[in-house]
Amino acid sequence: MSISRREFLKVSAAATAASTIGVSLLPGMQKELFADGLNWHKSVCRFCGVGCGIMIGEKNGKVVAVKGDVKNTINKGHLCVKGFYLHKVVYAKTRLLHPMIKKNGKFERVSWDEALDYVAKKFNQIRKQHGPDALAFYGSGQAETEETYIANKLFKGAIGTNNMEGNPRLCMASAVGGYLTSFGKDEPAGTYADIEKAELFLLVGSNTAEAHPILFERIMRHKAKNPDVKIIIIDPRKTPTDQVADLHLFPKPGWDLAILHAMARILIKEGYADENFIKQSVNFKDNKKNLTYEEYKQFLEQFTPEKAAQISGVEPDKIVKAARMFGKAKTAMSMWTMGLNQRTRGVWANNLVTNLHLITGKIGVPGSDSFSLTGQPNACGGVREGGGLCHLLPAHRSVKNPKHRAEVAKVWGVPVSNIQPKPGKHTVAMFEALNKGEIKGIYIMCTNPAQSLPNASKYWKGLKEQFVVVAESFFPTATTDYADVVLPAAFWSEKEGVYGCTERRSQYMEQVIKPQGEARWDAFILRDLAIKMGFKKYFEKYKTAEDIWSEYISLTKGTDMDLSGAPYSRLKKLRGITWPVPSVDHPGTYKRYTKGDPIFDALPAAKKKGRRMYFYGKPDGKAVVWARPPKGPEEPTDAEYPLALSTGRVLEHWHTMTMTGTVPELVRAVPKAYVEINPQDAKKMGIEDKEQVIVETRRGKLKIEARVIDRPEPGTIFIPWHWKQWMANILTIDAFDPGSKEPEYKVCAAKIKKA
Amino acid sequence: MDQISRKEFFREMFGFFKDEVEKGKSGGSDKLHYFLPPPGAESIRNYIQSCDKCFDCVAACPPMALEVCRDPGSEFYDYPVIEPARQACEFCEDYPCIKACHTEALKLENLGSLKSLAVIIGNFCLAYQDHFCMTCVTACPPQYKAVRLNAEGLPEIDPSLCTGCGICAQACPAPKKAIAFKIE
Repeated sequence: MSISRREFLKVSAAATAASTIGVSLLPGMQKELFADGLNWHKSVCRFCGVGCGIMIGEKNGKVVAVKGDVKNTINKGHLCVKGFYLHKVVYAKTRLLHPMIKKNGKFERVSWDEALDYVAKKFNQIRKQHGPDALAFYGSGQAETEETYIANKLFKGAIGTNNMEGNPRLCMASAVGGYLTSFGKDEPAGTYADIEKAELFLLVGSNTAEAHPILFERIMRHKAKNPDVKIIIIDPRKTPTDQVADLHLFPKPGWDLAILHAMARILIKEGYADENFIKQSVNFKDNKKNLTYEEYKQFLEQFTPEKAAQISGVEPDKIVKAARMFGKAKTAMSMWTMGLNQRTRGVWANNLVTNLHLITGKIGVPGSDSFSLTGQPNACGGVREGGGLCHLLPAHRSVKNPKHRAEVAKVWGVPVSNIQPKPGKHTVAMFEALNKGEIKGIYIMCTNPAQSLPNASKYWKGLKEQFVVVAESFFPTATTDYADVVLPAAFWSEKEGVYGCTERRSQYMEQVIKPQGEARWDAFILRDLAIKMGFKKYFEKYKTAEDIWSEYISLTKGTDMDLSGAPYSRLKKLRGITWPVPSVDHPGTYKRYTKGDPIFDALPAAKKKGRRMYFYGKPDGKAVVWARPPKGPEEPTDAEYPLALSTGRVLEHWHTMTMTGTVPELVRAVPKAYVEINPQDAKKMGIEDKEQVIVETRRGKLKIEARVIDRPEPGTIFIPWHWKQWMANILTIDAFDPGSKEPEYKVCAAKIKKA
Repeated sequence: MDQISRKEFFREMFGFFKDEVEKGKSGGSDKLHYFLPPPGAESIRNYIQSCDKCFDCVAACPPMALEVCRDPGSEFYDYPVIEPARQACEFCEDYPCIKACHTEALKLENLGSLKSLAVIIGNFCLAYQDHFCMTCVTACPPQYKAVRLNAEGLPEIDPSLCTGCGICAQACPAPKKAIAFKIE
């Protein structure tokens, strides 16, 4: 690299001058010199479910920088602060570099062969003695689709157990349930492109600013350009997302269902309903039977704004105002995340938001959608679509359906009898079974359940007692503490594969560098384990990631999530594509169930006649408006535990911090956990800011710093759950939604006292 | 490439260095600081003239925010200072630093006479560099709420609310701290 005299003087003089006035060299100038000789590779962010495009800067076989991918339609070159530091995580000191087996309570380094032989022997022993259902797999919405696919095949197809789950159960199972019951098919109808066309946003149970920053930025910029755009928030806590809110409804945690019914009632009463759309495309149901439109209206009669106010604690005029805003807007987009999903009535809550769109016809047109935001980068792609849950098979198939089992068994090349027709154990039941010893061996991949399970300490027993294999990129984590074998997994940028984000977009990620140490790609670890377990004939054919992807997309052909037009060769060139993509020349689908959706377009004309939308997941093509009872949380507050505890996230950290905890800048930004207490409550209890307090629930106690702040409403407290040292999940309740089996992280009863 | 002689190099460097120092001295409130004097200083000039560098205040500081300035480019060089980007002042109720001072440099009655004000340096700030970050917004103590996102999603400091405590600078996750201070 040669620098001319002039350039040298410019740079060095600036450097000297800079230190004098307390401003150092501008990063822009530094980058120019630094970027020399970097090779940029296309990838996807490893953090949340937004799916931002990232360019990885590689030099001499090392990842040295990242930048936002300007060609990516999702983030257009922007990244949030977590993504900005992603390259630092690759070389974290906590990377797990070689396989280890716990011998006499201590981890000892072993060779790959020894580790896999040991695991294969143990698993086969358990399988022989106790049957296949004594084994289990617990995967992740952060694993690539290819990885989950191989795990699915190994456990459901080869070993023959449906005890195959993933952490998306804890994150968006209720959204799946919501979409299936409302529309008949999983995943949103629209895409992010609706954001720039929407006139109104209804954010329910979503701290978008911190959990989905880039989408929040898009909403914010859209509103800045179009001041008439309105934003309604329904959330028990004031969050940074409030900075854009026009109206905020603060329900008591867990009591918001009545608000949504009351809004529906006002929408119909005041003439905002799209009667034509209702006639064409909507059925009404309650938990037991079909209803008529009239019966639904009668059901809604009980939800006067006053009644809803009494149940939810929100002022009645605010509910009326919200409903009118929703009705008046020409287009409306509702978004929700864990605030609705992580509830014992998560599916119902999902239904009720979708109801608003169905009765007003604000769906299937640009700018209108009921849009669930996903928490993990590949929860949609790998687990929902890939079938990584105990009742699913790849491509939105179900284990219960004999036709589906036969189709999958054929492609997998396994006897159809291997795939059990009965769903396996869902996450909470799986760890319960581990406690009871019904499951004797578990393979945990790319996730940290010892910290992320609700009522976590209850499930440590099973992890301690049973045979636990953890494939991870980082060590130690709360879960590796209980592992018998740890296997080093290749991290982001060290492997190729596909991530599918919230908006049905599948994006290809390049392998840029060699894995650190002896780390290997998860899918190949599983393949080799399968071969060692005696399933050579089923698994030896997978030589590359592309082999796996090609087989997977062949299974999606003809389904509602057709990806057969998205082979690697195409994905490598694109910034992702939104399914259904039935052929390699298909541009991807913007709106489902309506014109432009290849499945809708292929329907016989008689079916579609006079109909704007056809919900082909339902027998008559009609979506369902649900009349669900307004049930509250599993553990309401009482005299003994008077505060409602909610957990959540901060912008700077992600989940159990195995990644963000290794970036000093992020740790510094938010170094420790705290409990947010409303100043009124704090005053009553004599708690001061920054004081140590003890938060107690029926399940555990946590000593933590108090933050007296007006974010939570009086009577509620909030803890960010990222830290292992201040593990919020020892407090949370493991009651779960009977439909989706997703636990109620968001509400439980707690009390606080000074430490 | 032209060769530069050693002498030439130093002459050029020194010229620049000297100019900037002069600019800094005369520039008044436009000058940006990364260091702040301890609480209870009346003005920069008064503080530097009165402090006898006993460093008792440094020893007395509970959050260890006070340190000895080791930046030769700073006018506080060798004096006790706070570098908020490292550790911000926590404004202890009883001001142990002021109590520890046996000269006129730090006095309780001077509290508030020297005002510092946080300033976002757009060139360093991740949000202004097309990323999404609002760490300073959430870090700003709730009673002040001096840092807000503007309509564009960029953090802005409201000078009427900012107390210059520097907690935002301490939290700032940018590769180069994007928050400096004006001293008035």
